[in-house]
Amino acid sequence: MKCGFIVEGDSEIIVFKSKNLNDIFYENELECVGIYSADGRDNIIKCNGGVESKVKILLEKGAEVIFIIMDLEKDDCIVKLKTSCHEYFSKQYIIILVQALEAWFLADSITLSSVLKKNFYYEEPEETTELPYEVIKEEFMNSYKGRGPGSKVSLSRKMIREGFSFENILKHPNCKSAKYFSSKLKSLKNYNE
Amino acid sequence: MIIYRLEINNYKSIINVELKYPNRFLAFVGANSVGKSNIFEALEFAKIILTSKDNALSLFGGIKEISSRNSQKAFRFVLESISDSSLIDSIEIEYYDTPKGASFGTKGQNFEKFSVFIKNFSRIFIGHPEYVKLPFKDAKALSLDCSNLEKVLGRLLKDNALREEILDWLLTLIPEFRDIEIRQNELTGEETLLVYEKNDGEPFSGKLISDGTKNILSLLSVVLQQDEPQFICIEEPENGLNPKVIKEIVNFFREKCKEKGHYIWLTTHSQTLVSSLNQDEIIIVDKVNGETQAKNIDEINLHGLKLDEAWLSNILGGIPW
Repeated sequence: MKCGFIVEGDSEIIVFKSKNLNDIFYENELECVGIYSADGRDNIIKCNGGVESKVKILLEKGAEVIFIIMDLEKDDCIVKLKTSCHEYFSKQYIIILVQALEAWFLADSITLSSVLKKNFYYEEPEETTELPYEVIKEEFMNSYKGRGPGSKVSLSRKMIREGFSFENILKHPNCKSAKYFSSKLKSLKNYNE
Repeated sequence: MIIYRLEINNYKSIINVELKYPNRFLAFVGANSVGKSNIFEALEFAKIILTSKDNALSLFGGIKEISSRNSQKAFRFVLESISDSSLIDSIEIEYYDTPKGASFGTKGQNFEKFSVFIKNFSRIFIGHPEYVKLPFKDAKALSLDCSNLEKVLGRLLKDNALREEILDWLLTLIPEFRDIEIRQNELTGEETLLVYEKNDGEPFSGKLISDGTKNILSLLSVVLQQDEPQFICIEEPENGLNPKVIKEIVNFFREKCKEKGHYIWLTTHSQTLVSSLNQDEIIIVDKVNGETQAKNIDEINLHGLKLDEAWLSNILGGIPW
């Protein structure tokens, strides 16, 4: 089955284009035909920024299912977000994954330990009081003598270089969005069979 | 000359780049270090082989320097043109070993049909002397780095029609200017570019002229330096230019291709420049497993998306990640 992604920005493109994620797609008999940036979550919520055109292009490239990956902010309601997305797109081919990419980084204790050069474990990666990026930034500042990760893109590149893997995230007991994503991939594989 | 097909094999990061029926005005768009410049350098190398076979390898640093890093095969270049009556002519360059060392053979007939490429090819990278292979010092044509701008511009300004055209463009792109002049030092013979501003009687010269102004004058000069059709490859023409000026320069290039039959090919990183292009004016360049790949995007239906937005959203490729 062919699939496509609409994501918030460049960091997500980097992660979803990585060999590790593509191996996961392959294991689940999915072929990714494109990962397109919506250039910000507001564009996804309001269906601005050519999101509709991007979905059409993915469908023309043969995508039978499209994942929309978006972050959830403090005052957001998942149901409301899903409703607003489904106003624009057919429910049959859209799967919305609410996730902050940096929460996945927080959940990959093995890679983050390597990046931070110390044993690192974060109990609730999806329940941080600050944004997950800020939590990682603070850890960076401690490990790298006052130097932060630079940017979200730079952090994503470093995590991929250091071995970020979806399998590592699934080992974390409290990363629901990764488990949800994994279950969706498996259900698509079963649907195929 | 209308290019029917261009093929470059085994030049630095290029294993195979093939362009079929490429537009006269074309921009190669891609991330840093994907091999856009290698495509232009391979064209320059081929042009020099066709005009000065014995010197080409020396100018480009020897066979190791130009060989593909990912293939054991040797450099090959094919250029095909199509006539109004659909007849196809071709020239081909192939590498071969000789007892005396590396050499290149050329095949093809009707070389005169490729004179636009053989005689009138220029590669331009303003302000980059490190890429200069043949440093022109005279007024005939701009050197790659445009270090002889004053000489060429001085010649062009002596022609009244060209002077008017250069001034029309210059005063459009830089409304604060009212005139330019090339003044020759009577003792040394050295030319100096002088620029007159609207509200100032005295001209300013030399280091006081901004890089952007010199770039604009270089871009105008290279296109206008010959009345005959030219094949011009320009690296990153957007450097130092205001976005509005970039859009107008694109119009200038496009119109001159139509008027004069030039081929003007660019490399760019500029979102503004990409936003000014038509879909058939873009070649996306990516590097896959160390190999430079080039593709046109004519057949993608963008469903109303702007080109620059499609590019930066990862729909076309040509981004660093």
